[in-house]
Amino acid sequence: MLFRNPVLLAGLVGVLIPVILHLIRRQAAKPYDWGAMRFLFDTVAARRRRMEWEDFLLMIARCLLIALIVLAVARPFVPPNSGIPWLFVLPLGLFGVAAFGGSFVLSSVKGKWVMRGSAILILLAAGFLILKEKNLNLERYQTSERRDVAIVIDGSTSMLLRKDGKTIFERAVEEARDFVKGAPKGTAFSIVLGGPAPELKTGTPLTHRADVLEVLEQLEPVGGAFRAHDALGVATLSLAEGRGSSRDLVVFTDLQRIGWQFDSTTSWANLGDAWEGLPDGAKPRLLLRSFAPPEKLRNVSITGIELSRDVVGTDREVAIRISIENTGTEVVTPGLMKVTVGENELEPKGLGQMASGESSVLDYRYQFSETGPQVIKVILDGNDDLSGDDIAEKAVWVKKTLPVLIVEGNAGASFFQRAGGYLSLALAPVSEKEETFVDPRVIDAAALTREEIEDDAVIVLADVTRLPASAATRIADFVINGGGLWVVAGPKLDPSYYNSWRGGDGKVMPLNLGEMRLPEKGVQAAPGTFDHPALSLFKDEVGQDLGEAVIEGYRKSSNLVEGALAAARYSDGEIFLATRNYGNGRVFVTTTSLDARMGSLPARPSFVPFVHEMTNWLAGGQAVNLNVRASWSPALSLPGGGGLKAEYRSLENRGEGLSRIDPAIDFNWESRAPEKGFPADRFGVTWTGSLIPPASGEYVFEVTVDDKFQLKLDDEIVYEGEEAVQGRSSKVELLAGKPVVFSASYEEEWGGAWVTLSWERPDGIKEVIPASVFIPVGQDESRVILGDSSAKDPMGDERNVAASLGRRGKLLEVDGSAIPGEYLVGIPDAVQDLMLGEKEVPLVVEREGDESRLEFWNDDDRKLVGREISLIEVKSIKDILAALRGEGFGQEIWKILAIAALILFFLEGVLARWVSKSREAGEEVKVDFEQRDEIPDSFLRSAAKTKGLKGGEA
Amino acid sequence: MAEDADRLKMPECMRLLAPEVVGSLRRLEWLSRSRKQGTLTGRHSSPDKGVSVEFAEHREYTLGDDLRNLDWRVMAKSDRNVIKQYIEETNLRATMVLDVSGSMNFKGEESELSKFEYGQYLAAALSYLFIKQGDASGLVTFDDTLRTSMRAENRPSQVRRICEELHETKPGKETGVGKVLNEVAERIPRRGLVIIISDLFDEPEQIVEALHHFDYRQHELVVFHLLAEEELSFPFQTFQRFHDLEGVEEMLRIDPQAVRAAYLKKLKEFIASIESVCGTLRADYVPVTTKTPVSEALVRYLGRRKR
Repeated sequence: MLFRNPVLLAGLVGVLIPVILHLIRRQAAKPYDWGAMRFLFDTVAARRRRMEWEDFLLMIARCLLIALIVLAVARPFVPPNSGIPWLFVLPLGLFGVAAFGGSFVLSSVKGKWVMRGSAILILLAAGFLILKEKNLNLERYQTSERRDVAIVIDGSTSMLLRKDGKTIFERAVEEARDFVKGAPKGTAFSIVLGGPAPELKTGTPLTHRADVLEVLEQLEPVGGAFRAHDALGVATLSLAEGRGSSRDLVVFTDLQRIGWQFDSTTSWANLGDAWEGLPDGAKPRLLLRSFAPPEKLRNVSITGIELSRDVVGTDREVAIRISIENTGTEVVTPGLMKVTVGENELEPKGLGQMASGESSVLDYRYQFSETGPQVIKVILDGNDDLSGDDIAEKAVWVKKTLPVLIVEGNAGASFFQRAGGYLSLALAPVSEKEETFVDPRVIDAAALTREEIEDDAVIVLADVTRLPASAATRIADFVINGGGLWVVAGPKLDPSYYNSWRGGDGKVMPLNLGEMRLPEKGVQAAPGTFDHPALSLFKDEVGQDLGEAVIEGYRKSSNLVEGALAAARYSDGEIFLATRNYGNGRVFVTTTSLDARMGSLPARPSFVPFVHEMTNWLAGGQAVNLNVRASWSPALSLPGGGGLKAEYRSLENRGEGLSRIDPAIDFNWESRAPEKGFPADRFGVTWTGSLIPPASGEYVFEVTVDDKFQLKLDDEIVYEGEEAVQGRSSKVELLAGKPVVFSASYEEEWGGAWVTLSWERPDGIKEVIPASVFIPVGQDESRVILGDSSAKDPMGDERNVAASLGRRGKLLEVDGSAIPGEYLVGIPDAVQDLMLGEKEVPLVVEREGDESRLEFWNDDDRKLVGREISLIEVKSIKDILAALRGEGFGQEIWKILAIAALILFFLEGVLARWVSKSREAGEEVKVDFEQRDEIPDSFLRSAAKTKGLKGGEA
Repeated sequence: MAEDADRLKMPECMRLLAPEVVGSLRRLEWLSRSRKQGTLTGRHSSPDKGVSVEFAEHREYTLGDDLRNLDWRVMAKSDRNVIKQYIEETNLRATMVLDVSGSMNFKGEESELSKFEYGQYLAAALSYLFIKQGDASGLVTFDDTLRTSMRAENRPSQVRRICEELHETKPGKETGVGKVLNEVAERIPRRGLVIIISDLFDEPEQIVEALHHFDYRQHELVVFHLLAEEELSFPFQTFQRFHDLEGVEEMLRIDPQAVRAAYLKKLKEFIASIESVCGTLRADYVPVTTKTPVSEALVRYLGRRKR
């Protein structure tokens, strides 16, 4: 129990008033010589004990009454997590007061002093306990001259709820302004606007109040979800910059649960560590100004826009499915939905009445007329409380062409025995001169080198026996970077080679291929087993004949790897089609050859759509995803990550050096120069970056080089050689996922120039070290900037854009926090080729559907937070300010005291009446004593006359 | 006249006989109501001193007897020397019994006189009254013991003597009214008029017993019950430290409000018991508060008595 106005406790001296009155009455008692003592004594003797009791009770009641009033005025409160229960301290103190007051009416001198002494001891004890509590409280809410306050304002969509004509966000900003105005001097503020990504609005903590208010003035709600956890992180960083010795995090939020990461105790523990580790050791407090969640909510929201295909061309219609959900608690009838694609507006559609929790889907079929990136924008006239989620965007990159590289493994055979031929024809069944969406290119397997693989979306290995080592690594990297790989497992394919084919993401094949099987009557594909989005067309649709084709031979298969999917099976249960995701890309295996040797499948009318669907699906991984989830800052992942930073220089110091990113160290320049305008002899290259081992164990590095090569890992020389055609390093122990600083240097003297760095992995595989295990940054840097440009964010503000290569691969990052909505991002020159030459692409930061499903903090959440930081939930700015000043706040109990005082007041009245009644104080006892009898007038007259006569004589 | 002479000299003791008291008493007389022996003839004193008409008895002559009282006839007949004795004819022998104990010293704020002083004035006035009408008057004062005792005489100078005596008397400390009154009753010759002036603060039983004793001695009894106004109304509001005037009990610090009712009830009971015993003894009970002027109190009483 503490007091808000402790000074007023001085009023407790008032307890002495009844005591002093009593004493004065006693002391002022004039000594009175009295004759009729006998009667007084008789009276008193009989009543002394009782009277003493009555006086005692009355005195106690009066003292307590005053004490209660004074205590109530001093506004006692129970601080949160009070260490000493007020239900103990308060009665203790009151008992002390009662005993103190009561001691004054006791007549026994000894009893009087014993009681008074113990009363004083009790009062001291109560006072001590209160001081102790105050100290505990002060420790918790230590205050100092300079303090840093990080204000975090929730700018999420749910903060846009209107209540009494104002959004919660507006209220929050208003309160924040009041708070800043009312905060004590010497407070430095930093302001974090919370959204999907927190945004620090103040560089360093501001002390000048006008500046802070101006920053607050300009805050606009961000929309999306409030990543409170991240926002607290940013706020903590800003606190670390401040110089104050006390710190507070003040969060204005509606307590929506999403974004607080309550399911992750570790991330909260990390935050706790960050708070613990702030300089000077002052752990911040978390003051939570929560706005009560609404009980009733009318809200419909667009929860998603989906396209039926990942890769969209202008060739065919695509279905746009828009899902709408009533996430509120009330029935809502939304108005019309407007959909615009690029510049084109589609026919608006209406929805019926939606009950709470009901969801529905609107389908549009649309054929894109233009290629390139464009945005589908959906606006629903939601007719609800929360309009921020009645809008959604989706960016689509409409492809002009889909280049497909078909590697023909059976090139020498007739057309009917070549799967590649069938596939090529199926993909582009018109004259080669006409432009088609899918653009197939067929090469002979013998001609396959790593250089052949360029901008293709999909590579089809049509019954290819085996691959050259460098091509195998290149293809695996291609898939990791988002490409599609279609393996047609025909009779010529070497299963053992494919089964052991590994790349940066492990085994490439989704399953182990086995021997050919030639069932006598053949088998059919069983549509009932089709289990893949790309096959949905063929599942039950009437008229499709995929299942009718007779397949005379197939490869048995086994051991589906984890994450792989048996997309279709034959009628005998063996796997027909298997798929898996590999890195960012996709792999698809057909266990039969798609040509005339193995059945009639290519002859079926369904073959062409089947091939198109699969190709489209395979290409889906490569498409640059223009729709990103809201996170720290909006970023597009670009294809082609990994590699090493390469510095080319002339050994004769001629001309300028050259700097670029090399995917792997695997070059054979022969006698050519590494780049135009660069010398062919006497040059040197240094590759630097980090190597992230894919598995733990012992690695051996193998170098094929002309002339000099040196390899350093973590600054230790692992290999050094000169003029060696081939050399091996000793064994090196590496840990999976732990980056090693990589540095290699190469020098070419004259003549032929080549260098290839391979390794033998712990699992025995020998391969050129793939680009995917390299990142071109050392330990100290986080990324390499490839180029920059600018972007326009949903608010219309200009933002910086940087293309970089780092641990997360190639990224196109937009500065600032990820406000949901549509961005227009300029593409830096350096990565324009990755974006198909586009100079500007739209980017959509998705709105989080969960933000519309209002779910609020629960008690477990509070406990979790309370474990890491002292959490104080406040209901008003006054409380925050009080907390900031280290004054108490908490549960006030003055009302209880006031009521107790009132009760005592009446009680005292009743008691006083009762006492006076028992003493008959008011009773008028009349003692008839001097009878004034009638005396005859004549007698009195004669007496008076005499008197008069006498007077005359005098 | 005697009092004129006294006034001229104005001895200090004579302040007890204030002129207005004397004035108001001039026309008044004390009429004895007890005519037990049928010999009393009002207030007239016998012109021949020591001789009465009514023969009472003979007794043996002893040396020193006045020869005038010898009964010559008896001597002549039987040669015995006897003395003739007569019933004394002096009408009234009034003895004022004044309580001078500590409690009588209570004065209070309502009146100018303490009970004691009031008693002094009352006793002086009464003695004047009796002497004026030729009756004898005496004075007994007491606190816990008998203090002074003056036989009743009807000499005019008796007034002055009594006044002197009263003037000399200072109130004492202790009191045990009942016990002392018994002694007083024994001392005073039979069949006198006894006027007790006291607050009678003692155990009622004791008082009752003493009054009965007076009755037994065939005294005509008048009780001037003297109380102060404060004692009757207990008007105190604030704490008082009551200090015992008789010094028996210690000091008492008390809230008067708390005990008032009970005290008054007790007092009422006490008064009632005294009054009732006076009734049974056919004694005059005269309650007087010190607030009432002495003359008025006397006039009222005598007025009542005359009827």
